[in-house]
Amino acid sequence: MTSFRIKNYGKVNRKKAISFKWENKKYYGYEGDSLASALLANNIKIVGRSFKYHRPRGIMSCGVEESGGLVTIGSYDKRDPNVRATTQELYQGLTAYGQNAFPNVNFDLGEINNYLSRFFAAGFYYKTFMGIPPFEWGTGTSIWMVFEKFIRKAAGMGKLSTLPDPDNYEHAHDFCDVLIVGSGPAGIAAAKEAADKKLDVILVEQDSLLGGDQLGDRVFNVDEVYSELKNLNIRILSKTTAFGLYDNCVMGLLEKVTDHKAEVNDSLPRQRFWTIRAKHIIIGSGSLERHIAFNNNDVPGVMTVNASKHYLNRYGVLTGKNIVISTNNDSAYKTAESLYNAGAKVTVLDVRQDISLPPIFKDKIPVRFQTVPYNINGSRKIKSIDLATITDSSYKKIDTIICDQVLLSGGWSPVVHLLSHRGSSPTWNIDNLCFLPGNTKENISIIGAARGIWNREECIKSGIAGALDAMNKMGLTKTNYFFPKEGGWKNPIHPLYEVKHKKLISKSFVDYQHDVTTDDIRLAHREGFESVEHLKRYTTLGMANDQGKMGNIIAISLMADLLDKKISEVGTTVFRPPYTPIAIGALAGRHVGKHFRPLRVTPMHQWNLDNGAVMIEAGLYQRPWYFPKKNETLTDSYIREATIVRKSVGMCDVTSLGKISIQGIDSTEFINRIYANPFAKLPINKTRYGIMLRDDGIVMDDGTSWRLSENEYLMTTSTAQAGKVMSWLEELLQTRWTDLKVNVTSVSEQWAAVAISGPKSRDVIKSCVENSILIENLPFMGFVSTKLIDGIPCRIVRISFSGELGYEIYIESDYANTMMNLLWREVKKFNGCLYGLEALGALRVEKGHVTGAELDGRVTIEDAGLGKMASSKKSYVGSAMRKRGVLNSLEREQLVGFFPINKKHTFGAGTIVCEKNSIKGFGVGRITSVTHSPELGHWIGIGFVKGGKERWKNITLIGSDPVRNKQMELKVVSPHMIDPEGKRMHV
Amino acid sequence: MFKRYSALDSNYFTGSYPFNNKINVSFKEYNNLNLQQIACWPNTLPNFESFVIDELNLSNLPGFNKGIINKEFSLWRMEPLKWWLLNKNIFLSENLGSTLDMSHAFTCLIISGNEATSLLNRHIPIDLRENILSHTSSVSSSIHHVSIKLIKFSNNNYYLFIPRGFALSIWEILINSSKQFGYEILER
Repeated sequence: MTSFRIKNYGKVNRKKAISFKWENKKYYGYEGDSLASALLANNIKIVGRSFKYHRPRGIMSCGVEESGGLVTIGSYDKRDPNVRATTQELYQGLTAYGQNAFPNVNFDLGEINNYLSRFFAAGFYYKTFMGIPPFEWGTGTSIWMVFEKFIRKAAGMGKLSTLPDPDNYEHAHDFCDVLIVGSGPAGIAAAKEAADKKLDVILVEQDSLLGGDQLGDRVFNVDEVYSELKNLNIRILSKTTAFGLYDNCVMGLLEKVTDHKAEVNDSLPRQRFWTIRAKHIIIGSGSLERHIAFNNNDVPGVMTVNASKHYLNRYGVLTGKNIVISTNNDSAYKTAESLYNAGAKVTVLDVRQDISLPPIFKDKIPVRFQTVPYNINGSRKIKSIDLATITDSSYKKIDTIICDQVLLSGGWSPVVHLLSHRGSSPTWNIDNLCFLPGNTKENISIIGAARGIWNREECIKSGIAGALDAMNKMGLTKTNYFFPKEGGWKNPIHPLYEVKHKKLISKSFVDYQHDVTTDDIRLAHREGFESVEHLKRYTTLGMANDQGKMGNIIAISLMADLLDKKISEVGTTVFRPPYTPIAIGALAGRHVGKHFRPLRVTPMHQWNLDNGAVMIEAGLYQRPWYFPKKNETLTDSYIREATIVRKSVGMCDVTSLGKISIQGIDSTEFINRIYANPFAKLPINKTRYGIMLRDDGIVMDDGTSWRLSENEYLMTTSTAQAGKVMSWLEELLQTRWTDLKVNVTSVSEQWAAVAISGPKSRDVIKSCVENSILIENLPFMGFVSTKLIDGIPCRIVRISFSGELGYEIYIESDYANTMMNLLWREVKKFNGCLYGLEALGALRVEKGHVTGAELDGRVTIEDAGLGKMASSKKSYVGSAMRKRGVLNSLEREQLVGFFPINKKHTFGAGTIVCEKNSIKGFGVGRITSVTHSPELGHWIGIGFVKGGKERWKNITLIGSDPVRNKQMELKVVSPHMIDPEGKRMHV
Repeated sequence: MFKRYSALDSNYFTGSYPFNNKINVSFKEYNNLNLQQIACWPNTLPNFESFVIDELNLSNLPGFNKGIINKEFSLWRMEPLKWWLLNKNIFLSENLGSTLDMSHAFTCLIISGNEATSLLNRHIPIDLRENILSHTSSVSSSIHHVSIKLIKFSNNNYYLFIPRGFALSIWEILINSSKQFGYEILER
């Protein structure tokens, strides 16, 4: 394919070529390639631009730590920015673009920033835009607010699509005995051992292939490993990243299901968000190779040593032809040998003194000891590298080598993130120059390189030990075992974090994406940001896509040096989930669009729709809002509906009311303790309106309770409080009145309910039931169990929310449609109507009936004008506390009605009621519900005012509505604006 | 028997919807559900148990979250002092406890097939593995914040009880997530 793709290397499928587009130009790769390997194979060096200075960025690693190769995948609604090219599998038709560049990554006008870099040091924004020097003009928040919008526009990398995400995502749960993170040598060994001991094992691998670091071996049979694990009944989740570890061995994971597919079947989710609960977690998450900071260490062509090995042996891509490797440890030598054998010219720089090496490093691969990289020459690609040696604790340039690639190995950092999520602080290991995972008492074991073990055989032993540790901690065995000691190199590692250049301002990068340099670290120190947490926030170090995976250790070592402390004393920043970025869509799962919240519908939902209802959400319920005729607006419709109810008859779906069955021989005693008003003597077949209070004497809810038999009641609650009241009743029975033989059960779903209201309602119902005499004789607040004319059993209660003669019919839910058809046929005969929530509200406001808008958790039974209903002879919930002086003050706001002085004026719910000469603050009251009154012909409202109606007799108040910028004159009236004596409903 | 309208009527489309030519999940709505809740109190439990055992001709009552399946009915202990009786009704003296018809309160879906457990675990955070939740067990959980009851009749064969008002919404979510397995909707 290209000279960079070499024969007889790699595990890609060379029989299957794949075309893809990079920056609108067509290229080819192979099945099994990552986007990064395909770009490298096609000799594409520059894949993006850095955040601040717009410096060219190339591929710098081969995994999740990638900080340079961040690209945008896809277009239009599928555009996905900041994708790591190193972890993106290549697929047919993939389109990718570089980021943060105009017009393109090879020629970027923004590169001018690189020449102005001395002005963009750490803290630039804070210093400049929170007060512009030298006179600190415009200091403070306001000036920051001015500049913020410009800064935000310039900030960020890549560009999200503003179109709705077309992909599906889903959540999933699973369970196992042992969850193993990482399928490197240690993880596989642990999985085999645990499965062999008959444990239920899930093995998780973020890569598409199993093997971990073994994928970088020239010979490694992935299929063989896979089938071996499958034969042991190990469940394998590949392409799945364990991003967070939570309490009680709960792991959060993200599976990429179709990110690697060209054509996506929409039956499959794009990504799956797993929550796996295990009895034990084994973390074999490996370790990440570190870079070394020196001048121009970001030029495309700089990469970690191990990455180059993976590109060679996994993808068959030789990343350079004339390669310089700089190292401070033994791990680089194997790669040097592989690269040489693959045909590259290789030179090794080792900061250490002479160490024993195989003959190849004397004969064929030159090794220069006590030598470090000093400066890279070239801007878009590497031309040569200047070498230096240490003299008197400073570096002295000694030579320049022509090369096209520089590979770095500044040591290895175990991936301690997951254990850190549990609050376990990593500890600095001086021998291996890395943070090792801290201690934990939880059922978590750390194995392999994540434990700081570098030797493969020892990693395998640690995996087996991890499995045995799991069994012991789960209480299944008491086996003696030990974890191999950390380390494993022949020669000790030598500290090498930064090679300081003599230039006053060098471009020695620590965080490649955010352009944080070693000079920025020094500046932060000079300005007092010494804590690693402050350093991070001041310089933005480790806040980029890689979250410090590449640069944190270098920065910490520099800060330790500046503070004259040990690295162990400086510590590291706290790692928090997620380990790698997660799409917001994956967090939402299937809870989007129509299913953002669960939809709750009544049994006659479809019937209502079929008959012209416009729906409105009431809590989770979909309720009929209004039933418009031709071209009617909401206002037209509800006024018509309410008018017909007052004149003739209307029917309304009221199923959403809460319904609770109360059964047992102590039911009467129970219900009498719940309600403030007396219930002990409620006759069978009668219903009573009741108010229940909280313990503190404030009204909790209101509703009715029907006595069905000696020991059985049906309680109705408001729609909004149904769940709360049910929980409250359960709590009382389980904790306070455990001696009462009462069962409470929510039957809200068992029963559908419809209100029939209006002067003709009795006639309608009589024609719908088998025995019309029962209805004729049914008294106000009486109820009867009877049958509709087609024999379906129902319960009918004579009750009124509208103030008119009214009934509610309750029927078992599956029969609701039948009931609606029957009733509607009769209602139509009286020129009646269907009415919705808006008309229902208008009717009840006219009547002065309270709902949740009034009973808002601040109102007492007296405030609501219902104090006379409360019993003085019995004890009930809230009976003591409601007598507190503060709840009985004459200054409290009491329920009243409001009329506008000018009948043409309107007002809104939420209007603050003030005295004429004092329109400010909380005023003297508030309006809670408003409507146009069809009966009175003008706007009306109910609400609360201090001292109640009598206080404000003949006094004009002002309604102030600062939100809608309105004021109007009001007068206070009785809340019972229509038929205050209740003659209509008692007819 | 009067015609009962199901909560799923508007969206219950029988047929096969395979994925990769495979059907791994089957749905069937339990038609004309007959569900009676029977309950007692702590100090009536012994007499209640004796009565129900006699009445239903059982050797013993199921333990908590367990069930007994007979040819004509099944009995499930859903809460410490509440049982669900499916397909049969009994009368209980007020001194022993209470009975309550809940036949219209739930939509019951019978979910079976090779991937029935996988499908349910897409939504329910409950360990349904056979060695943890054996057959003839019941659990209470939630799907998309809606409380549900799940009865495991046998491995990969479940009865899912959804509060009727939420049934349509949950049904749509279940069907969407079943597409990846291939599913069929059977006649009720």
